[in-house]
Amino acid sequence: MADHPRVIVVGGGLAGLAATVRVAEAGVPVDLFSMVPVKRSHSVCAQGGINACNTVARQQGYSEWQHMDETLLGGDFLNHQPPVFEMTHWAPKIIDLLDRMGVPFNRTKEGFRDLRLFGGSIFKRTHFAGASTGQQLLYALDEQTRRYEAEGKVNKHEFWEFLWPVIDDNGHCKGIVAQDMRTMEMKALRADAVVMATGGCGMLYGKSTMSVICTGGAASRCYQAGAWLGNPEMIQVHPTAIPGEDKCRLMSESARGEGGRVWVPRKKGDDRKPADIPEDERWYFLEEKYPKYGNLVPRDIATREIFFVCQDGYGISGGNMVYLDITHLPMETKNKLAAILEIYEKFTGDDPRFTPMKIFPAVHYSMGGLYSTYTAVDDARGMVSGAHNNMMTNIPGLYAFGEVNYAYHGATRLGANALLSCIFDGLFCGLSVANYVRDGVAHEQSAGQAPDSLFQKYVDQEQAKVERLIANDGQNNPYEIWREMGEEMIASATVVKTEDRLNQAYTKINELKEQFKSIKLSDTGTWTNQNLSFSRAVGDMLKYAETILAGSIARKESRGSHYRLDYPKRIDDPFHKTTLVKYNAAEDKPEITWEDIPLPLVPLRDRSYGKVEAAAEKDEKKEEATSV
Amino acid sequence: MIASSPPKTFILKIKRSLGEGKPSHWESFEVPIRPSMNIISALQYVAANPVTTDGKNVEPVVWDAGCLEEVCGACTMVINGHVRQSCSCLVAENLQDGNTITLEPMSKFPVVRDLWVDRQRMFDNLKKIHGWVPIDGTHDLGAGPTETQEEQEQRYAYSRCMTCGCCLEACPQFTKDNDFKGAQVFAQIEYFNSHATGKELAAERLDVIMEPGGITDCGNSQNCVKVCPKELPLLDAIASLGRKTTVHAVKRFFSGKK
Amino acid sequence: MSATPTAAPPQLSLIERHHFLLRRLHSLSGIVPVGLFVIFHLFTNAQMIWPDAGATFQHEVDFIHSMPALLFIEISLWVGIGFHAALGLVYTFTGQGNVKNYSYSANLRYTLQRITGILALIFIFFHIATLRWRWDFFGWFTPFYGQLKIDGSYGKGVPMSMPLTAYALQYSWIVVLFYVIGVASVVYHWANGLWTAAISWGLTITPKAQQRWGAVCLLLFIALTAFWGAAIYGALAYSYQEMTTDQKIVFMEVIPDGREVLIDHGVEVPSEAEAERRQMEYAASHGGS
Repeated sequence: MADHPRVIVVGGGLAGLAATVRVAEAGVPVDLFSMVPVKRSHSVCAQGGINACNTVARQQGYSEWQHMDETLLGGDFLNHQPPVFEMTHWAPKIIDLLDRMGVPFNRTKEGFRDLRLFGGSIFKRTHFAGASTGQQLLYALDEQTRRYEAEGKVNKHEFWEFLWPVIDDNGHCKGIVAQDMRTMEMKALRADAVVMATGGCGMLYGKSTMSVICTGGAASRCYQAGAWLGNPEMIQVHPTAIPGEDKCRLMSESARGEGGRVWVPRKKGDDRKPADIPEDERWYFLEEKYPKYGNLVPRDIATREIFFVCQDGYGISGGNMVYLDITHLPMETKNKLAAILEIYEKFTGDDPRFTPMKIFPAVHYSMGGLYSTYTAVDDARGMVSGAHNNMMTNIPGLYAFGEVNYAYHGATRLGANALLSCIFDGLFCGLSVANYVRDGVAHEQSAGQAPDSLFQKYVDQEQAKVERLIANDGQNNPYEIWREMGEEMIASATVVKTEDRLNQAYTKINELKEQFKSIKLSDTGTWTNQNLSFSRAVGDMLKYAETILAGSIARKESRGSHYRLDYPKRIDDPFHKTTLVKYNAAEDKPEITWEDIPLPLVPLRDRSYGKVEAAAEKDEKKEEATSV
Repeated sequence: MIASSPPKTFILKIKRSLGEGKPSHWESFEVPIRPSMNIISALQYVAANPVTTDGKNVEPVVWDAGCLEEVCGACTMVINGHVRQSCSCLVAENLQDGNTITLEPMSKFPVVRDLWVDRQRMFDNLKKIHGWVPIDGTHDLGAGPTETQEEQEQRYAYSRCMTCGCCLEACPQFTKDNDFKGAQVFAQIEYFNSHATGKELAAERLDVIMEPGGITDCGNSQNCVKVCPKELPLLDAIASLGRKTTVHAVKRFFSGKK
Repeated sequence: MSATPTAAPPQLSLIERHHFLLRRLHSLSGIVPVGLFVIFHLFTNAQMIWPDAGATFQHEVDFIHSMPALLFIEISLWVGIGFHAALGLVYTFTGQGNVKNYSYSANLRYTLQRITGILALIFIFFHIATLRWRWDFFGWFTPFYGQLKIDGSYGKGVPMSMPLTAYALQYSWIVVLFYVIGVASVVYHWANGLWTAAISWGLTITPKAQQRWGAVCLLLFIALTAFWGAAIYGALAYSYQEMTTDQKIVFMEVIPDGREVLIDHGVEVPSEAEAERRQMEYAASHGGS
């Protein structure tokens, strides 16, 4: 019994729960770790929907192949093709399964699943449940997980924080060290495989659209323990979000689609209320710079322009915000936008029907993350089902699923593909995990047989870290370091990047790393010490931020969401490659190597702007008018 | 809006304790007001500057938070005596006596520390009522049952429950000492029992809520529906279960099985 | 994998196993035996408002006393009230009112339902104890106690219900207040209970239906309030001048200082000799002592 194979899943979002369900179903017991009750994971924030080829679209000429092609083109060919092939071909099955689990997908008159249009496609291929698809999908998987929990096959550890992977002398992952965030108890847990499903790293940008738990801390710890990162520089920035004091919340683009205008005061730092600023003192910069498209310029241009205007000091009150104004629209149009306007009103207290909204682009998703491998089938059309290494990192026994996995989205993720990739990882690659621990071929000694000393070593290491942090009597406030890191990262590594600014940020992050060594915790207690947990994460965020900067500096081209002002073109030779980042522990810095990306199914082609981009933008408008 | 200039700072009065059963005390923090500031950003300010109005350095306040978009349910607390999510609570609209806002942990759940409570009871109850659709497995077995738009709309309303616990905090019948299940669970039973496959466990779920702490213990104060941030049709769920349990009890009696 | 194993059922006590039944019976016992009787009773009392209250009210009282199987009805009422009150008390203390922070109208009704339940219980006890069992509390309930002396002696057959009730209420504002609070509690508790019962039993499912049924319950509440209001008004407005000579004699017989009371109210009272003569006549014609 002691030697029965076990699996640890870290993270209880869509990917983690899908993996848990799949592994438990295969008869392997799972220990599920999460910093929050899994039902509160960040997946709840996804709204739009989940993509999959479907009966109707198929009869109109759409196919899984085309879904794959769109995903590859969207990702600017930085994604590997066999996993994307597999994912898009599995998508319809995943929708069916979620449907069977009871997800309340919107219905047509006849009772079939309804579909909506989404960016990057002219076919309706996005399934949705109201304006909270992610929440509904997460809940369905949460319910199935609870079922296995009730059957004793899943053991949940909620409010536990992942600290470090346990790696034996052969370099195989044998478990994790984790800490109870309430009692601060620290322990090592054995497992023959560990699935990291820990999501994105938005918190290191200070404010993003992500939840407060999305620190990227877990990914950073794996990276420091020897796992490689892939394309960490690929960070998606959404053009319109509601900047808040605490975070940024998405504001749908349908406001502009319905006639909303973007503007800033012509005078820098103008502190008047927007209504008091006369028409001729307002700068409708998008309309002025792009007379043809006006406020309806493609999304990336809008993002960049808003960014530039604020960099130049024209933002509202000199800050990072511009007006999105719909006050001039007729009441019927405003009513059509009611749902999104209410969100804005709820969180800002201003009624956008009468006061212009203040918006700014916000960090939204990390395409990059832990590097992972796979076994392709002979003709490269998909992955071998159940192959041990599917979405396994370079560390045997350590897997990466969901947003923390770099595999599927390349340089830009298409809308409504995130939910798909998370669930696909869990369901498809969950079998790989189960096979890996059951077959036991890759590890001559099971986790159960590993010596206690191995685990104690890692607990001691983490305990020492905690003691160091608590004993530290420096002068630096970890919140201040975090704030500075966020500001520096947003200024250097989001919408527009340049060599100089990136280098400057790299230096700054290294200064902050130095400052971090002499921080002082405001809570040195041993009970529910959030200050300790946060500060420890800040240290790890700094190291992850460094990889984003290093990747951005090394990739001297523009590709997808990575836009270098100094290299504005895509340069396939030599940059059609995965950025592999490895941690140099001796010098505490990232090291970059490159890995070729085979193109077995779809050849490289231009991701042309103008016409195509504008058309795609229009499709998105249509979709967004019906969503949220 | 009143024309007079708004205050520059406000007092955040927080009920603090080191956990359930430990003594609690109040601490006040002066926080600068920023435009459209919510409680979370005020708490973030306090976390970075944990100094009370008496100038005392204290340990930073502990609280629970997640999405900050009112969909995860984590940051629920009692603000000015009223339960709600702290992310969607704006400072400017909730100042009392001119410049104070009080924060307390939810009173119906054990306190972990300060404003953080342990709502495990809600999740445990979901387990007790078999809160899942009993599918055969995750293999590809085709599409799920079709349903009408009306059915979907009804289920969608219930599926938005984020297990925040507002309904239970405001319920006079739900206390720490009793085992009343409360509106959250009742709504979820309606949700699962109205799905074609979920129905399979309908009788078991009804059995569970006919026990002590079940549907009959509802006192119809109807606070649940007033405080539910997602406006779930909780009254419909409660009354509908009243009907279903009545019918179920009669059937059960005459079937002679139980 | 498909079957969901159920955990071993927890051991429930006999009462716990029949929790649902007890709760439903609690609801039912409040509505049917107790509630229906209250309607009937209040309707009867409302007769006190009519000009010839003495006769009408007495007629109703006599009717009740002449009902067949009165003992059986009484026992059912006792069992009903006892059961309802006992469980009600237990259930009341499983909750913690919070009207202060959540002052919604339904929540106010929830709290009132519990308060009025307890008040109603106290009231009913005193009401029955004084009027049915003829207990004597602190002396000031003696007017009711007076009924005792009537049976079997001179006065049997003399319609005294109205004057004695009037005397009881006019005796002290405390009695009036006690009755107003007590009866209002009973009526509120029943009308609101009728409203919540429709939810508990699943008759009114949607808030709209609950609202409609609420209107019906409100009307019932108003009607019953009008009934008891009429009764109290009738008793307070009753003038001793309306009494017949026989009633006056009985009144003076059973009420301590009855003669003074009547004289104080300016009532022309028969002389003691006249009273004695009538009593003798009565005794002779009835062959009693």
